[in-house]
Amino acid sequence: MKFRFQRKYFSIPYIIFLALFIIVPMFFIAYYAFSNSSGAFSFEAAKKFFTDPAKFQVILVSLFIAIQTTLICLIIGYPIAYILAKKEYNHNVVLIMLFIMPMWINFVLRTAATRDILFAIGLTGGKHPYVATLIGMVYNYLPFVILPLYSTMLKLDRSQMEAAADLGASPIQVFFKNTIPQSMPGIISAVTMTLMPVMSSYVISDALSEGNITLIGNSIYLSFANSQWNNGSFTALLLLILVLLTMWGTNGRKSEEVRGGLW
Amino acid sequence: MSKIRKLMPFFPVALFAIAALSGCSNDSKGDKKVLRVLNSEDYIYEAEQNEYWCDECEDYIKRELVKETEVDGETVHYHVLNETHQLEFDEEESIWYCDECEDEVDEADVKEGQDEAGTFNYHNAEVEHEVSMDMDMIDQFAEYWADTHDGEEIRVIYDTFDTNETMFNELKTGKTTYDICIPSDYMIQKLYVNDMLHKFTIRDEIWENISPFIESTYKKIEATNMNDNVTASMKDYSVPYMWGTMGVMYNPSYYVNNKGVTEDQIHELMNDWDSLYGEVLQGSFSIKDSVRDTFAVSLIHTYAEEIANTTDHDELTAIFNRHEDKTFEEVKVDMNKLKANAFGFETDSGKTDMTTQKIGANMCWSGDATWAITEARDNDLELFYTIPTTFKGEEGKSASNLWFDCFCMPKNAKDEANPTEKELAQYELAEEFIKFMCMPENAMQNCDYVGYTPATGGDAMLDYMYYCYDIRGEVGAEFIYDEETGEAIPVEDLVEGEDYIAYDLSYFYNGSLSEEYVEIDAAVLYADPDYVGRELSAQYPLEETLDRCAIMNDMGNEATGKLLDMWESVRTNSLPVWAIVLLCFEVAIGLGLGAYFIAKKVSRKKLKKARKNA
Repeated sequence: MKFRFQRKYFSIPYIIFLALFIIVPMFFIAYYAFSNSSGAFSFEAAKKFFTDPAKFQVILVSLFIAIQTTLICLIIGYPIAYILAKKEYNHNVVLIMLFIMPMWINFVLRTAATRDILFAIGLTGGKHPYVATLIGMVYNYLPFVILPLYSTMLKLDRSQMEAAADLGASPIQVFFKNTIPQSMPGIISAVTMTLMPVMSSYVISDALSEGNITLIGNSIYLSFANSQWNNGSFTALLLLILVLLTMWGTNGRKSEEVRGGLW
Repeated sequence: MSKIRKLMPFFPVALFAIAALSGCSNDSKGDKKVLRVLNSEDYIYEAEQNEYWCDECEDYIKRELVKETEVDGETVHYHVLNETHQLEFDEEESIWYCDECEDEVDEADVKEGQDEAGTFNYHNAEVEHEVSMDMDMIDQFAEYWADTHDGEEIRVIYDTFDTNETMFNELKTGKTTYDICIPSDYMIQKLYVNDMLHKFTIRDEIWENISPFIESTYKKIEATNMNDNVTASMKDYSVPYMWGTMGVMYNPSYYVNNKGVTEDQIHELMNDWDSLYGEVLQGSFSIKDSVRDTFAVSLIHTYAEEIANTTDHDELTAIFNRHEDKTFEEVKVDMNKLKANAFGFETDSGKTDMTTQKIGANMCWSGDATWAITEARDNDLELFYTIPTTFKGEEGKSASNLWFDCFCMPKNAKDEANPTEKELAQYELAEEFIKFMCMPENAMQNCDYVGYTPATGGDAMLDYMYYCYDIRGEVGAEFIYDEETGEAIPVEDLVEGEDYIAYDLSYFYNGSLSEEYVEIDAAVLYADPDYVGRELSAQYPLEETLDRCAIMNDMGNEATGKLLDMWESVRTNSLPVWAIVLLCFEVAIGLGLGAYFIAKKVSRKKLKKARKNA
C-alpha cells in the first residue's frame, strides 16, 4: 500500500494529546467515583456525597458566589463592552488592551497581589470573606465577560435600533427589546465562561477568604489531599456533568445567524 | 471504518511516541548507581550551588576569581585580594614593617593616608585567601561515597512531596520507587502497618550520632504490621531527621498597637491555648490548614482539665491519642469555636504574613517559626515563639504536639525475604546516605540551610549552637569582647540574667558529646537574652516544656476517615442570612422573568393560531 500524506494527519498530535490528557483521565474519574478504597465497584462515594450536609452547604455557597460573580461581571462588563464597541472608541486599541491585559498575567500572581491590596484597604478575608472573595472573582473573570460581549456588540445592527427609536420606542424600550435580544449570544457565552469556572475555582477563594469559604473546587482538593480519591472523584464527576448540562442548555439556545462569543 | 484504516500507518508512530514519553524515567541512563530520595517540600535544601565560599571574607567568591594550585598533592583553591595594611616605621632598623604581612616593606610602596585620627602610612598588599566549594549536601554525599568506595560514581535523584498523604499514595500505587523517603512520624507508622518498610541493618552506626533524648522518646513509637501482626518499635525502621514542636508564633507590637494590651500581658496570654479562643486574639491569628495539627490544638483545649491533672507522660500521651466517636464530636464543637475566632486557615502563607504584620499570631511548627523570626529580625521586627503549657495561670499544666520527620527505606525488593545482590546494594547505598546525613558536621550544615532542628547531637552541632546563640561565641572561650569598646571581659565576670541567660541543653546533648565538652559543662549555653523565647526556644525548647509534649500516633484507617469527615464539615460553613436572602431574591427574579417570557411566548403562539384559524 502506498502511503500518501494527507492534511488531516496534522491533527494526530492533537488527537494523542486529547486522548492522553482529557479522555483517559475522565475514565479514571468515573472509575474512582464508583469504586471504594479497595477498588471494588460501589456507590459508597455517591451515598456519602448525598447524605453529607456539609456537601450541600458547599454547593449552596458555590452557587451563591458563582451567581453573584456572574451578575456583577455582567452589570460591569455589559456597558463597558457596549461603549468599547462603539465606533468612536473602537479604534482605540489601548482601551481594549487595558481590559484584556490582566489576562496575560497568571491569576495566581494576580490573586496574591489582590490579597495585598485588600489588606491595605482593610477588607481582609478574615473579617469579610464573602466580599473579599467576590472582589477577587469579579476581577479575575471580568475579561471573560467583556471579551465575548465585545465581539457580539461589534456586530450589533445599529440601524435596527435607530429604526426602533424612530418608530417611537423610548431608549429603555430600545435597550430591552432590541439591544439585549441582539446581544443574547454574547451574554450566554459570558455566563458559561464565568458560572461554572467560578464554582470550581479554588485558589482565589482559598487565598482571599483566608480559607473561610469552601467552594466545590476546594472540597475536591481537600478530598484528594487527604487521599480520599473516591469522594473527590465523585464530586468532580458531578461537576463535570453540571458543566456538560450547562453547555448543552446554552448551545441549544444559541441562534445560528448571530455569531459571536469565544467559541 | 475506512477512516481508521487510513490512520493505521500512524499507530506505530503514536505508540512509539507514548513509549518514548513513558521511557523518559531516570533509571535508564547509564549504569551509575542511582539513589532516589523523596523529601518533604517544607525543607528548602539547596545551597548557593557551585559557588566558592571564603571564610575570611565571609562572602561568596565568583568562579573566575578563583585560582587553583597544588599543595602536597592536593588541589587547593584560593583567590587573591588587594588589601591595605597599615605600616609602622621601625626606628631602630630604620625600615617600614608590616605586622600583617610580617615582613619588611619597600619604602617606594609606602603611601600616606588621612583619616579622623590623623595621618597614617599604609601599603597595598596582595593577600591569598583559601576558598572552599559550597556544595549541596547531595553533591557532598556523592563525593563521600566516591571517597569511601574506590571512586565509584553515583547519581542522586532528589524529589519532593507536598503532603504525607500524597507521598503514601505515590508509594502505595508503586508508580515510582524511592530508596529513601522522609515522612512524618505517624506516616512512618502507617507505612509500617501496611508492611512497606525495610528494616535497617546498620542502625547502631546511625543511631550513635542521634541525641539520646530523641532516641528515648522515639523508641516508644510503635506500630503493628497488619500482615504478620508483629509489633515493633519504629526505631528499627526509621531514623529521625528533624524534630520540633507545635506552638504559637506572635508579634507583641501588633497587639500593643491594635488591642491596647501591654507586652507582658501578651507574653502571658500566648502561653495559654485558651487565649486563642478569647477576645484579645479574636480575628488576629491564623491556624494551620492541616487536619492533624488543628485537631491537636482543639483536643488539648477540649480536655484541658484532664490534661492538667495528668501526672506522667504516658497518661498525657493516652489523652492525646484519643480517637473515639465521642472525642470527635466534642473536639468538633471546639474546632468550630476556634475557627470562628481565628483570622483564617493557612497552608504556608502564615510565616510571611507574620513578617509583613498582616496577622498578629500564627499557630505554627517550630522550624517555620525559626525561619520567620530570623527573617523578621532583619527588618527590626520582634517575633516570639512559645509552646503554650500554661493552664489557668499554672505553668506546665497544658500540652503540645511533638513531631519527628524521619528517614525510612520503602521495601523495593521483589522478594523481600531473598533480595538479590543488586537490591541489597541499593539498600546499603540508602543506609549510607542516612548515616551521612546524621553525622554531626553534616546535620549542622543542613540545619543552617533549613532552620529546622536536626535530631543529631554531637560536638559539631553544639559548636553551631554556640556560634548562633551563645554570647561566648565558641566552646571554652575565656573572654568575650565588648562590641563597642573592644575590651576583653573574662567570662567569670558576666552576670547571669543580665548579660546572659543560662540555657540548659544537656537533656538533648548529654551522651552525644565528647568527654572534653562534658567536663566543662558545655551543654549549658550562656544564651544571648535576645534569642531566648525566639529562635533558640523554637529550635530547642527547655526540658520541662518538652515533658508536656506528646506524639500523636497514626489513628488507623477508620478513625482517620472519621477525622477527615469531621474536618471537612468544620472547613465548610453555612451561608449567612443576608446571602440566603439575596440568593432567594435573585432566584425569584430569575424564575419570574422566565415565567413571564414563557407566558408571553405561549400567548403569542395562541394569537398566531387564532389568526391562522381566522
